[in-house]
Amino acid sequence: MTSPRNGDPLQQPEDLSSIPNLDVYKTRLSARDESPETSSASLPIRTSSPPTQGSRSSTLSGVLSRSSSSNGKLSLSLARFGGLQVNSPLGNPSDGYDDTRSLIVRAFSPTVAVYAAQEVDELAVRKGLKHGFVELVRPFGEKIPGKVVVRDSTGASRSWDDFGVHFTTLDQLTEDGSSSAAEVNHLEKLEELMEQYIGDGYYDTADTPGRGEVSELYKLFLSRLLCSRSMSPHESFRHPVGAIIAISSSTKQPIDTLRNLYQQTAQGPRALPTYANPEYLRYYVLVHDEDHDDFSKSSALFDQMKRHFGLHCHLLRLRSASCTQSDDDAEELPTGEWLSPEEQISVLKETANLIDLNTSTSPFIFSSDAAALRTFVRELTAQSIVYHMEQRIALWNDQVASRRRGISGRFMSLSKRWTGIGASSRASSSSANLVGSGASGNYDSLQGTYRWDAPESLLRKLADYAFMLRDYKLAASTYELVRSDYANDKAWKHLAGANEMCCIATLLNPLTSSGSSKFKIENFDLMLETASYSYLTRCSDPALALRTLLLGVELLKVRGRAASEVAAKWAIRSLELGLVGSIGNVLVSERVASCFANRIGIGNTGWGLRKRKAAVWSVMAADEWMKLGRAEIAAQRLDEAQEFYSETNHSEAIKQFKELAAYLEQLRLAVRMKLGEARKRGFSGATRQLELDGEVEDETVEEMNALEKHDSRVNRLSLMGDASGAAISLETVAPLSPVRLTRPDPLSREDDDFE
Amino acid sequence: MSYYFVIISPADTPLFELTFGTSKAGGDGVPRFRNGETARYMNQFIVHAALDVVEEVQWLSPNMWLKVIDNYAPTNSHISCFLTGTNVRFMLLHQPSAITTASAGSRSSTISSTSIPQNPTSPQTEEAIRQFMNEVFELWVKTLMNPFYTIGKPIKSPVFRQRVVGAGRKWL
Repeated sequence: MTSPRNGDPLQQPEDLSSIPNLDVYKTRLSARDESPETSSASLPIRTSSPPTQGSRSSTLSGVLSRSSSSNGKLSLSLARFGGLQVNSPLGNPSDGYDDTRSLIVRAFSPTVAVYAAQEVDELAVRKGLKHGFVELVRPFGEKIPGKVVVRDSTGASRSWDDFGVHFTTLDQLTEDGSSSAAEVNHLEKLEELMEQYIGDGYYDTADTPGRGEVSELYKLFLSRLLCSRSMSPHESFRHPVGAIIAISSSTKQPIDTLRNLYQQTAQGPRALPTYANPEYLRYYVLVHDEDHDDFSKSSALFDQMKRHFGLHCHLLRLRSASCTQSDDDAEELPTGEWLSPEEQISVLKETANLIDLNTSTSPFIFSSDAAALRTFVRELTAQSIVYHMEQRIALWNDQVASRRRGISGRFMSLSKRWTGIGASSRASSSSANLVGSGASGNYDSLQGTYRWDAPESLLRKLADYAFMLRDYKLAASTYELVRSDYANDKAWKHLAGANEMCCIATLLNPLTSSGSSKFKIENFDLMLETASYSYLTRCSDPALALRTLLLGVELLKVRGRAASEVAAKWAIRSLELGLVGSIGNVLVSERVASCFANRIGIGNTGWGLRKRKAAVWSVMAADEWMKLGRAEIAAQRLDEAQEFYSETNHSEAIKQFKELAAYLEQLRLAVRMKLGEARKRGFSGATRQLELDGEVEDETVEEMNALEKHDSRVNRLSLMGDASGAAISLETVAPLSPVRLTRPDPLSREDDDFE
Repeated sequence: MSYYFVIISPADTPLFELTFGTSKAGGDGVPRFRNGETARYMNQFIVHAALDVVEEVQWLSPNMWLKVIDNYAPTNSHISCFLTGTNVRFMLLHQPSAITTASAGSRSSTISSTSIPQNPTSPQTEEAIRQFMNEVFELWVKTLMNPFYTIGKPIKSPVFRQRVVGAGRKWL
């Protein structure tokens, strides 16, 4: 390689400009090697950190940080490599599966409502949190520090590192419950959010995911899709498992206030709709203001609280003064990972100006506060929430589910179904039109809900609790049980939900091995079919249909040969159904490619591989990325396609298809042009800050090689032709610099063909 | 229905390509792919990708005629394959015309839903394609016997092309 100065006429004379080129070339290698772990480890942090932070920093700082990051890589990569192999529940997982799995598992975490007295919210506002107390605790709920031990229905206990809870305000939940119309444009919001990200150039290609891995953008897409949910009758993941009732030390008449708040959660304006179980856990919190109030008084009050309300109490000691970055023990409040698209968009808008100033976007709190909050959330979850859920599961399992599971239960439900004995008496009052169709009569077909104490509702809730506590075996069997009830009642949304979750729970269960006789692909196929059809056609809820399909795809695609085929089929189906917008389209196309790429052949023969298909989908994705204007990602996809093609038996043959080859060539050229332009802009000044500083070079170094070679030849020629040739050299070089990339010279084209 | 027919050598290179439209039910034999201009390369992509499936399926069936082996949902294309003795593969991509259900309703009186131009997976269509493949196979064998043809090279004979077009018109 010629020296970058000499080789590239685009470069400005400053010395600075030659730094990134060299530097990037160095880090590029290590970034490739390291990619599996960086992406796996950095996911939660990356998605949670304000996205535009890194990408908007100036060229220089970008270069510096990148080069410095390459230092400590060796030890890290070793440690993480070991971890990746061990964790996987399956025999032969593909890279990135653990990641996606953990994302899915964490998305379905218990919901805890927060209902705080005014004084507590005021305290939080004083600390610089606009949305009150909930904003303060929410980030800490996403990952409970330490292990959380969960006892499953058989009495075996398992501990989880990544357990979490989702905090939300009770107001929001009750609002969601009453108005369901807001649900409709979730997908649009999601698309809008993704557009913003893509337009902003967020997405560090520095840690380019390798083949078959999940790209950061897709993870973002999936996680946003998973959390764009509000409370709905057909599933209880968003129904509160517990509620924090909080007062502060400055509250007058504390015990009465607590009682009052409790009353409001039970039957006042804050009561849940009839389909949600009102018997959730109440957890009483006394927030002690360290800066203003006397601790001995609070302590006495807390003792009193404990006497009144029992064990589920906590004394939280916080400072009320606001904290600035310069303070000694300041700590940045982590940003939430599970923000819904709407919230994220508003956060992005609010912080847009701040990011330009290169300041931090989230407020600071004292580290003592952070520690107190962590302890609080841990205690709340590990001792109260999980315990409460375990108790409920045991209770319902005993009282509702086992009665259904036994022989007599089957007989009962049969007789109910065929003779209508059980149904007729109740059905006559609620829904007369269902009599005789075998419906149990608990279903209110007008509202589309079951009352919370109907057995169907309780069973669903049991299954959801088991799912959230990651007891997938119990969850799957319960979903299966309740599924037929929903089908009889023609409760379509419930039916779809039960099918969806049954499929997901079975697939998430690490003990269902792909080889066993129970593992039937057709079953999953059928469940996905029913769920997506019911969601889409009968309930016209595309967001949920998309969620079903994508989750199914992600979990199926690692389950062996036949399953990956089915996964690809469903991914394609989701495209066909038009569930995704243009950006979703690209992301899902990439997933299709990876489904095909992951398919394992038999032995070493390569029999049953789908490399060509994977390549086609990669090319399509590249094309779409170009349309979205992200040439650097398109370049990656093209490289990937190239790799796939070269792995087939007759890799050269593709060039014999004339139109196809011409199209590929064109696309490649377009990508290169775009990258070249971006590169030029990147050098032309520090104003052009964005994505393209390092990343583009990443891609271009290789691609430019051919061009540079040629250019240096031109340079040499012009040098040889002495003073008289100066005019000519100007002529040859000058038009080349801007136009060169739009009109590739024959030489470079020869160099750049399929390897 | 629009068709893209290609003969693929054992080394995966195309030996003969032809695009044509249906001549049944008043069709004029002109291909109208629903993806328009992009169809030219997309068809090649799709057929090339289908080779993956051919390589798998060819060991599972004793027949040379493999029926519909693959489809590409975004353009609603189906791919049928016929194997010859030397692992030369005849691939036919067929794509039903983009008639929406509304207009299909008005035409349903004249065209039954199983007719060849409408339904790419009906037994009738399958049979027609089989006949077409058989005829092309015969033409192909005769071409191989031609002393001026080198095996493994693209077929340039205009007579062969004309006859394949004829077979297409006759059956599809």
